[in-house]
Amino acid sequence: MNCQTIRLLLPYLTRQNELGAEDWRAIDNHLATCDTCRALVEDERAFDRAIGQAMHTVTIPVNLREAINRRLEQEPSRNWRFRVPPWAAVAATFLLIALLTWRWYATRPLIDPTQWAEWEDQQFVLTYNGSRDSVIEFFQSRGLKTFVPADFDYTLLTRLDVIDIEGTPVATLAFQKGDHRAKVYVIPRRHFRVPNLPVSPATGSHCTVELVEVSRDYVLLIVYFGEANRQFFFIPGMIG
Amino acid sequence: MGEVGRNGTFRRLVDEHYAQLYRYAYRLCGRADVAADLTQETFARAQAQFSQLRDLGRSKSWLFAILRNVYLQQLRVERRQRDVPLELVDLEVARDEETNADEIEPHQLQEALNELPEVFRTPLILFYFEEFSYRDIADQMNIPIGTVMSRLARAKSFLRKRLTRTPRPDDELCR
Repeated sequence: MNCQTIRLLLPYLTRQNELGAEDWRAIDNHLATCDTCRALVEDERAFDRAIGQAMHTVTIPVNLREAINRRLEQEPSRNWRFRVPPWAAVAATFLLIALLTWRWYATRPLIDPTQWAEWEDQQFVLTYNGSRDSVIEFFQSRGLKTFVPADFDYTLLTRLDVIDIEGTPVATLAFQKGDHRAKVYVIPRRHFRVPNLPVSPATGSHCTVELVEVSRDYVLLIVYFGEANRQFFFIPGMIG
Repeated sequence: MGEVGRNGTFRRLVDEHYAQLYRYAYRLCGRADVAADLTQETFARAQAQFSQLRDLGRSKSWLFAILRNVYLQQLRVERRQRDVPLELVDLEVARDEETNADEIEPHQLQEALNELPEVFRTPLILFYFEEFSYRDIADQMNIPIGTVMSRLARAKSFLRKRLTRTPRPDDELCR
C-alpha cells in the first residue's frame, strides 16, 4: 500500500465494511507510518460525519403519519391484490383459457350440409340455364362488381366462383365443351401487375395459359386444358 | 397471511419507515410539501404492490426504490429537472457560503444537493443518510457497483468544494 493507493481509496475509507480485512490491514499499516495520509483519512472522516449530520437534519411534519394512513384508507381500490384470494386468480385464469378456447372453436368456418346443398343448387341452375346476365347477377350477389365477357357461350358454363388471390377477390368461370375445358380468371388491373400485352401463351404439361386484354380495367387469364383454345367456347357466329 | 395480517404488517412498515422515507424524499427534491406527497404516494403504491414483496427484510430497500421511481416519474412529468451535465459538475462550484467541514448547515447542504444531477444526488443521499451499502445502492439504481463508487467519489468531491472553506490537504503526494 502506498500514498497513491490511499488517495484513490480515500472516498471509500469511511466505511469499514466495504473493504476486506486484508485491505484494511494494509491501509492501517500505511497510516501508522504516514502522517500525511492519516491526516487525509481523518479529514475525510470528519467531512463524512459533518455531511451525515447535516443530511439527517430534516424536520418531519407532525401530521405526516396520519396523512399517510388517511391516504392509504382512501385508496382501497388500488389494494386489490390484498383482496383477491389465490383460488380466485386460478379460477379466473381457467375461465380465460376456456373463453379463448370456445372463441377459437366457435369462429372456425362451419361445414353445413344445408348451406352446401343450397350452394350446389345455385351452381346447377346457373350453369344449366347459363347466360351472361345470370353470371353478372351471381357475382353481384357475392358482392363482386366485375367484368363478364360477352363473347363466351354461357351454355358451356360448368362452374362459377370467387377466389381470393393475395387478398383480392377474383371472379372465375369454368367452361367445358366435350373433352375441351377452360378456366377464366377475370383479373382487375388495379390490383395486379400485368405484363404489356399481347404476350405469347405459356404452355405447361397439361395446359396453356393465355392473357387477353378485354378492357382498360380488366384482363382475362384463360387456362385451356388439352387441345382447347378460346374459339371452342365462343358463341357460334361470334368467332372473330 | 390473511388480509388483516397483511394490513397489520403494512401499517408496521409505515410506522418504521415513514420518517426515513420523508427525509430521503426531502433531500431528493428539496421541498417539504413535495417530499410529503412523495412519501404518501410511495406508501400508496407500496400498499398496492405489497403482495410482490417476498422478503420483508428487504422492505426498506424496496420502499426507497419505489420512492425514487415516483420521484423520477414526477420529474419527467413536470420537466423541471435542472441538472447540469455530468462533465460540468467540477466546473460549476460556487463558494459563496463556505464553512468548515465540521459545521455544515443543512440548508447549504440542500442547496448543494439541488445543484447535483439526480444520478449523483441519489447515491450520495443513500450513502450518507440511510447507510445503504454500495451493493444496495447499485441494486436500487440498477447500475454496476463500480459506477456507484465512481459517482459517490465525484459527488463527495463536489460537496467538499461547494461547502467547505479548506480544500482537502491532498495537493501533493507524500511519497
